[in-house]
Amino acid sequence: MGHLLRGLLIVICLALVAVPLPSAAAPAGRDTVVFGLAQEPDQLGVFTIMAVAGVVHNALWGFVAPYNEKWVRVPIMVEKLPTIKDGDWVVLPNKKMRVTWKLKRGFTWHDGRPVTALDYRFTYGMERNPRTPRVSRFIVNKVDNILVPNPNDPYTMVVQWNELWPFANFDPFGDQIVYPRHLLESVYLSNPERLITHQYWRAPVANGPYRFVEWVPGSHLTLEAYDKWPLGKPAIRRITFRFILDSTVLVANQISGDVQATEINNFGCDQMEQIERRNQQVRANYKEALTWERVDFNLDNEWLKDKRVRQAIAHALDRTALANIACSGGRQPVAHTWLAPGHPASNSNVKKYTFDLARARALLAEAGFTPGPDGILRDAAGKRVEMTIMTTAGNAVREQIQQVMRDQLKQVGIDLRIDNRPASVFLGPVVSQRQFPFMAMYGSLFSPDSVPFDRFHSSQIPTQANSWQGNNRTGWRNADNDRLWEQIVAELDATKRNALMRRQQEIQAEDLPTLPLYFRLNLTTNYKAMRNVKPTGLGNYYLPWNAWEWQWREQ
Amino acid sequence: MQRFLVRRVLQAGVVLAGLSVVLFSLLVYTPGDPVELLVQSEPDVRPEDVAALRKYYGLDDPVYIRYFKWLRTLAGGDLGYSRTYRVPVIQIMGQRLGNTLLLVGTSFLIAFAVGVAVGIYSAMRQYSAADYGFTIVSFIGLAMPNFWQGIVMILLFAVWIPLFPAGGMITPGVARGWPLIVDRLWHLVLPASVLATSGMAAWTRYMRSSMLEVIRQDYVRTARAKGLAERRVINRHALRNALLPIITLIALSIPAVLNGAVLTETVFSWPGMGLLLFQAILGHDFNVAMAVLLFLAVATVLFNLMADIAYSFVDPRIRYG
Amino acid sequence: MALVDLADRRAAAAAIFAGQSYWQVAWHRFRRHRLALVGGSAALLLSAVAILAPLIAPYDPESISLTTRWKAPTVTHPFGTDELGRDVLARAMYAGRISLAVGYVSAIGVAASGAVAGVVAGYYGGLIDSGIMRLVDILLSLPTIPLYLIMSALIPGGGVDRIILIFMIFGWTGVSRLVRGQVLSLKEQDYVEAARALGASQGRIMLRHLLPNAMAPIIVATTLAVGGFILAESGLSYLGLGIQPPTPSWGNMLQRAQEYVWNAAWLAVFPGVLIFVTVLSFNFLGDGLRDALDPRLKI
Repeated sequence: MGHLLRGLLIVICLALVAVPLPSAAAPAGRDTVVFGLAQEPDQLGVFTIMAVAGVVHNALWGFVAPYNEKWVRVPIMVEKLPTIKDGDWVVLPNKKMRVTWKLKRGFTWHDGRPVTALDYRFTYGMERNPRTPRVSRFIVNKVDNILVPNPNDPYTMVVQWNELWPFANFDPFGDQIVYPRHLLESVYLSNPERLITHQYWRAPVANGPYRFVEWVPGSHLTLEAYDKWPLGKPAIRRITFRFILDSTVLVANQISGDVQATEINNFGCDQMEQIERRNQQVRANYKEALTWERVDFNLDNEWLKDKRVRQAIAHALDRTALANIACSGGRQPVAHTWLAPGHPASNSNVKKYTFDLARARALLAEAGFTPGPDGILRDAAGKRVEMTIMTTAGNAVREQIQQVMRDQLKQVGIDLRIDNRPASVFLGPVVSQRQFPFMAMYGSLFSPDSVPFDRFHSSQIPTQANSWQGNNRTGWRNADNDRLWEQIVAELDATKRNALMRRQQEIQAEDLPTLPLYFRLNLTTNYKAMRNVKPTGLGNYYLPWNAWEWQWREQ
Repeated sequence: MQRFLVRRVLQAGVVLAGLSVVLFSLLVYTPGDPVELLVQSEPDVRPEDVAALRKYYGLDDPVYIRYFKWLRTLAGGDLGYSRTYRVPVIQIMGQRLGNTLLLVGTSFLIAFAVGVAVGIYSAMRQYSAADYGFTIVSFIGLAMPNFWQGIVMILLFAVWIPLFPAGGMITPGVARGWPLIVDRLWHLVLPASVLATSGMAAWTRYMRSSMLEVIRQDYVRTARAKGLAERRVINRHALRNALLPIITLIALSIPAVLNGAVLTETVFSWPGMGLLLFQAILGHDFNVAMAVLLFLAVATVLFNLMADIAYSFVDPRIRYG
Repeated sequence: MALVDLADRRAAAAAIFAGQSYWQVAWHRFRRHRLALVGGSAALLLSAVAILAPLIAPYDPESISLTTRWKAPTVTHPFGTDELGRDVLARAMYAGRISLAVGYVSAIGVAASGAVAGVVAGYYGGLIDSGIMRLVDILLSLPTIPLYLIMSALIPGGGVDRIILIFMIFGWTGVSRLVRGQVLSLKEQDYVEAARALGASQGRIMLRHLLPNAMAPIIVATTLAVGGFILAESGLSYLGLGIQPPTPSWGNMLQRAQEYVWNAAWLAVFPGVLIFVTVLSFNFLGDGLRDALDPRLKI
């Protein structure tokens, strides 16, 4: 027996030693900020398939022109954003475009080499190549080429677009980040398919305010301030991202002060309130976002294809109460359209469906439904009105909302059944191949430069025949709406485009192919002593987007 | 003996081969895949992008082709790449294995030492208040949901009385050497004690009944009748024989301990194999899930084999035909 | 753990000589096992409450009241209310129906299928035996939670039937091993030989002679399994793969409650305690049954 125990002891000692050790030896303190993240990235850089990698990207890479907290693009690595008026964005007669960018000098890779237009050209080529697993080539495919016209001036580049794209002055070629040609080009050229397995993506040499130090898988990732960041050396010396997968434990860590900030967590507003209450040093950021929660109707359904039924459902639901379940205290606004009020194209004068049971009943009666003996409606053919609603299983907020919806719809005689699937199945085949017979509840993330033609145009209805291309999951067909979208995608003038989009929202609100619920807030936390933290609420632009401006100052 | 060994090894081989086929097909037919999850987090992903990515990751090949591909790389000593982490599986497994051994090993030591000691004590004082007390406590340990206990412990000892960290394994930036070892032990206290609870209860119960059984045997009575000191009777005669069946149980308890490890590691964000496996299954990280599951199976089969052999050495009464 | 001492055994032996049946003796022994009696009564009570839930629940467990969310336990709501203002006591009662049903049905299903496999393997021996036992080895050599995870990802839906099916696919191995062991020793005994010599069919021998005599381990294992499956369901629910809401189970109530431990700790306390008490009761009961039926049994 003694041998066994001794053996186990040896194993334990070995394990203690074998576990990877952090390389540097400074204790955590004021000069270090620890972020708690609810997920761990798969890798860093363009080929990641996880949104959480974006949080690290913001500190590690310089962005061409990130969105700030007011949803305005700030040029960081370029002199200015090209405009048509200034003549550095030219629309050619054949509906092609040419955009000229001037890069700011002084940006360097973390190995000291300068960042030049050649890096942009290399990155574009790499991301465009179908042999690399770039997640989305939607925008990059619109770019024909990137030229560096003067070899003596590697800070000027010309982007040639093969079609009109209204946001050609925001992302040079569909990406805000570039990669070092001098480190990756030879690997890329020898085998584009294997590029993704290169160790660069787990220990990148980047060009942002912080440089990579270490990544201990399953535990944490550490960055350190980069001395030669041209906008000034960051005041906070280290940023560590800790991966804490259980959200209750993540909350506990923020309350106990083991982490100083959290990003893309799965907190609910209740948890945010508890954090604020139990640790007064922490600020909870409730930031308006462009995350739209809604219920898609399947318009091929015999009942739901009748507009009156859809409108009746909208009137039967107390959406203020629903939004309040998701986030109490009226923080989260009820949605009447797909664009949140903070977006310049959002239209607040669309038709609004107030909570009105009488109106709902009247609409249903008008559509030919009569109450049955059990209080549930019957259609003209005598069929009992049972509908199903599907969503992502395990999402507490959506599941609660479903239960309240069921309760509320019962009052107008609709028997709502709940049928949920795991996210990978629900967002996969169920939604993208329209396998929901009645309703599907989910969220969509937009950005200030989203043009969701693919979500609302009738050419974008996924079918077997088009091998499920397009994201118009409701199956909405409306000639006016289609015409507007065709105009919107070709309109380069922001004011005119916004006007068209406002008109589109009116049509959509009247037709109601999809029922907007609310705009989900973007919830983050950070210690108040971290000064100049400015949440944007947008995807891709997380708290560390301006990390070099942060300072640690107690009250 | 030799024939027995050969037969057991062959049987183990059959078991493992069968397992690989079963696990592979189960994992392959799991619906949904990580690529689909992108649809929500990236505004610009189009179905054509999803299709291209699926093709890139070989998700569209027929099952048997994927199995033989996998088998071929395995035969070359290669466990493949993690789809999630894009590094060789062996690399992740190595790191996680150490962490799990640390957690499971520590909690096993605590559980086994305390369990055996309490078991002996209880057996010696059967029906005393202490015996009843320990019995009830060990039953409680077995009936408590592991993850619930973990959350209660975090609330108690990390938030309300902040003695220990609320999960994780290291404080980032801690110095090497002694501070690191202390830091690691400090992180180990809560998860190890949660994981040890049910083990402790089980070992107490096994040891107690094994001991009771031995004490009733004739040779123990004989030893007592010879007038040997009680201590000597227990140590020399009873304990040895009572521990024997317990040793075989160690191998059998491994799957249960790993069950506990999946939940405990998830609650405490302990970067071990259990957590890795859980994430791999949910994230459809095929190579990792296969590798971890097979590793567990090989380990358990080997332990069983070793227990059998060890047993036949220690207890000459056992004959294998 | 045999809480039966020698005096007890002697009494039992005396009882047998006095002409009492095996079951009478077992009952006699069971009655003297205090923990088992407590456990048995608690299990009975919990089961009764679950069965009678529709009659005795103070509220409709589904009735939502958004004005009374997060009410701490009071006289009107002894277990408080949850995030949708539903009465937690009523939900716990209905959840008990589900959790106990999962426990009972899985345990009985596992016992039945395991017993059949065990008897068949033990009786026929040879290839059938080694085939079944290799399968048992395979399934026993892996931790169950990962297997449950894979299966729950594989089988769609989130209902009670799915969970029971998953538990049954992997759960029968333990019982089959026990029963096989019993059958191996029984089948060489005289009365089985006699039955065979008298021309009894194989099915009859297995059903009438082998199975009843292997009943003790089956009963004990089944009792212990009820608690085991309730625990397993809660573990799966914690990982998000158990019974899906709106059907309440103690496991998914507990999982949901986690998010609110800060502002509504009672939501986590009651289902947790109920799981714990139920499992404890069944373990005590199983322990007592073992001591009563066959103290030498190792389960």
